Amino acid sequence: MNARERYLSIMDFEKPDRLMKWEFGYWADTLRRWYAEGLPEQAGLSGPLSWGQPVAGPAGYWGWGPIWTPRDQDVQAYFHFDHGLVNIPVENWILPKFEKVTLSEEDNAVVFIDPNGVTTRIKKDSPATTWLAWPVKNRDDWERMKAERFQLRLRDRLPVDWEAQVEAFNKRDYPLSMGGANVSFFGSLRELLGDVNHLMAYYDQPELIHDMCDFLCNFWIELFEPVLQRVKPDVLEIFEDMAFKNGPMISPAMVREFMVPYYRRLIGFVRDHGVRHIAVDTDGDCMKLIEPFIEAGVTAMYPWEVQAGMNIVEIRKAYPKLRMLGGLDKRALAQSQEAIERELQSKIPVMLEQGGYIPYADHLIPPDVSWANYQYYRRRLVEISEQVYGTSRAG
Amino acid sequence: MAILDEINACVFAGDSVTVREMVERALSENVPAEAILAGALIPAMDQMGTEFEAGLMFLPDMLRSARAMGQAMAVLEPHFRNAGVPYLGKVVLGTVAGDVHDIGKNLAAMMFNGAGLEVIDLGTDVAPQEFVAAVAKHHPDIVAMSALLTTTMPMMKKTIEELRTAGLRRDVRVIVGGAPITEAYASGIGADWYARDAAAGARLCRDWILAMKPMAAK
Repeated sequence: MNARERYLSIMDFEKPDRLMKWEFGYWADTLRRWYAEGLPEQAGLSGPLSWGQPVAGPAGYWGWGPIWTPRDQDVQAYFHFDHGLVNIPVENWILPKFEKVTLSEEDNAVVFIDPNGVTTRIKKDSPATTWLAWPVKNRDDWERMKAERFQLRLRDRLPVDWEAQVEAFNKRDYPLSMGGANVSFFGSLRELLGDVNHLMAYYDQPELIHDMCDFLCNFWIELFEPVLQRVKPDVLEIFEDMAFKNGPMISPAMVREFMVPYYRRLIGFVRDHGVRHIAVDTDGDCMKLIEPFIEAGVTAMYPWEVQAGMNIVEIRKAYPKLRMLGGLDKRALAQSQEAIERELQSKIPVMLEQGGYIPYADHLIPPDVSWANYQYYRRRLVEISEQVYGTSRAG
Repeated sequence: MAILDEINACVFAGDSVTVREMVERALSENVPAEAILAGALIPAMDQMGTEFEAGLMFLPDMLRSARAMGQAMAVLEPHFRNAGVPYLGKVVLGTVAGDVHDIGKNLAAMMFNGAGLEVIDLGTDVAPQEFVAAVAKHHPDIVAMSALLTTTMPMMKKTIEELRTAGLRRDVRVIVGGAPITEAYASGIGADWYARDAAAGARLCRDWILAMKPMAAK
């Protein structure tokens, strides 16, 4: 099987030829640590990345996106990971972009308007970026954004070598996605309104929330239609990140009122064009979101953060048809071989046996994970999978 | 008292327009500001905290109620100042260095404020030295730190160490919270308390201050 066949067989609850060898991603400092501890540095980090810069693994669709994210090559090569998910490079967000304008520059910090219209402050002695203001505060701002910044302009939204890419996509041996950041009906609004204004708007400006979702839904359908005429991706990726440690950011009732109708329309549209899998990316405790998402047509979710109480084995019992990716406790990887063994043995045999599951850590691998521990985890993952799949070719 | 019940209901429902009117009316009817705080606002925050912890209230509800609480406090604060009534205590609060997540921190600020505590909000990406300087300047009872990332939570330990180095650790209680934080982690880095969420943290701090400074409750 090639990576695409393997991915599709797992997503169809069939038995693959071997383990799908994927990882979600890493912090830049994790890779720096691993280089120092023995990971061969061939490609290296692409540029002077801050310690907290995410570096995508093969499971991270965000290896391409409006906000460019570097993709690891060295861990990929070392473990012979499967080919990563490739996202069709359609600009699905603001266009034309805002011109970058510097508002102030002091000794320690620079404040500027970024290409998505967000007023941003970067401190020179810190990797942290602070967002100070967002482009939409009210209906007038939104009407202006719709007219000026969500112009279809398909030619400008596709790469210059689109025809060549279409040809390559249609001969692919890897899983292909579309969507990702910012295709969503919660995460996208947060990017436009800002965290607090967005959350308050569900009470203060509910008609604005509905209009934003309705417009974006129609916009993405119109944008994706000509793309889907040429290429049939394997999965629609949805970027939400709408839960935190203690539960979802909005109630399931709000999800059903403000999101599900638009998801049904968008998902129905891509399904009509042959896209069978719909995957949602959300961190945190998302238990209360599962049912509304399934009602909306979602078929897969990830990365199931264990520190937020997500236990994939238990969740699988309640939702046996939901495809799951991730869910392995990154904190166990930082502890000991015994902790890694416990984590793998408690989840991998049962999940692989049931199918519909691709194992990897429950988010980016943090820098407290040693290279030795990571190697142990990957080696044992392969060995345990061989016992389940009955193959010795997994390595 | 009926008007206190109405103020309580307004905060809980997040009605920040009516709550102002109700607090002004209560004051005009000679209900003491302290009674409004103790009899209406603090119970409302407690109720919100309980419902939030139980998964019955969500962030928009909490933010809306916290905004209503802020409106009520804005009306009451001049009365507290004029009467020389102090806050129950003082909290220096911030998200640690390298971390810019602020929803949880902002919610904590509102909940602390609603619990009758003065809040010095240092914002996000706060370096250990900035916490130390704020403690030296403001003399708080409590330092509250938030972190969302496994990569930034070590800055909590660093901040506690810096407080110790500056000779200020014994002057304050330290409470920590955020997505990756656990009771065991809090204990391991030398924090005094761990809070599962903003409401639990505010209640914990208020209860400790009331136990330590019983006069503040009067």
